[in-house]
Amino acid sequence: MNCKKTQRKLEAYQGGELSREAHARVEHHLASCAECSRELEHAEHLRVTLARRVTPPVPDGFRHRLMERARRESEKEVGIGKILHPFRGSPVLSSRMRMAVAAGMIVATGIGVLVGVGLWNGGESSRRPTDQAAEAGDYGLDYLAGTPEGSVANAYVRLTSTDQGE
Amino acid sequence: MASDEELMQKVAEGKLDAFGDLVRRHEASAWRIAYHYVSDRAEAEDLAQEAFLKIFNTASRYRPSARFTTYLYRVIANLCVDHHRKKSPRYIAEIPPRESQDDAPDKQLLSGERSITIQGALHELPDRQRMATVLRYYEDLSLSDIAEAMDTSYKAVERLLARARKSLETSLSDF
Repeated sequence: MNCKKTQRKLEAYQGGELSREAHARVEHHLASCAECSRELEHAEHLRVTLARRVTPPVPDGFRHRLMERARRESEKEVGIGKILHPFRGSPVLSSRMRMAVAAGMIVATGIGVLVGVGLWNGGESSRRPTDQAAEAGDYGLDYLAGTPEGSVANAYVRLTSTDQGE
Repeated sequence: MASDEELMQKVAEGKLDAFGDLVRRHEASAWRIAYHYVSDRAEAEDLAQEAFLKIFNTASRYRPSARFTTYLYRVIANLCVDHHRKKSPRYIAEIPPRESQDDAPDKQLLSGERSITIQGALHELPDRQRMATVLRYYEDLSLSDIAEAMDTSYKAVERLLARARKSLETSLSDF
């Protein structure tokens, strides 16, 4: 093992993370190489030096602020996300099943739109004026015939009879 | 007591209490990594909170194939490195907290100076070397765990740590 490789292995060597064979190879090299032995000393010294850096405690209220944000996120998810992605995160449905359900919903929506358009067009074309007039007659507005001239009821009767005449 | 992975399952079902338990267990770790990486308390808090929120929002996609801590380290490491790359902040030495109320003022001053010098030396390292160093020396992770957290190979971690050590030995030669 050469110096470059040994020095790369020093971290794992110090931490006892090398295999028995690799550990023995590094040890063997260190026994005969002053430069790498010095490097190991430096590495040990560096560990002690870095440990002197103080870590401040977790800031006061850190968890409280975080939980507040999480609560807001989950409310947003319930409000909007669940409408857009009703099955996201569902522990019951697998992702493949969720895709199948989504595809089914798209097909059903498409069929619904087609049927709706068909009914709309068909309904409009079948409503001929004569049918409308007949419907008006069926309403039985005869009792309004005697209403005084200029009253709202009279105006309505006139309007209806005009429609029927056209 | 529920394992981290079991708690994550509950978080995926929308249980906030389970999330609170996870935060209680791991907030110190997330905070330590972020703080030693950015050396700024406000920024470190933002990053640690972002990491937990990301975990919360993507809980349904979490698969317990690896330990939860590995997942947490990966999220926080990515956020720290990405954030600093985009922002490339100018380093301003932060006065470190006092080690102990009982310490004599001259001892506190010495300790504060030491911490400032160390954080300055860490800040001179390239992003990935710095993250590998933080995970190794302040979180005490094995090289394999660092490789997983940083989504890289074991050999790459060996190289990152060896280069970082060389640079730090030079910058901290007076210690």
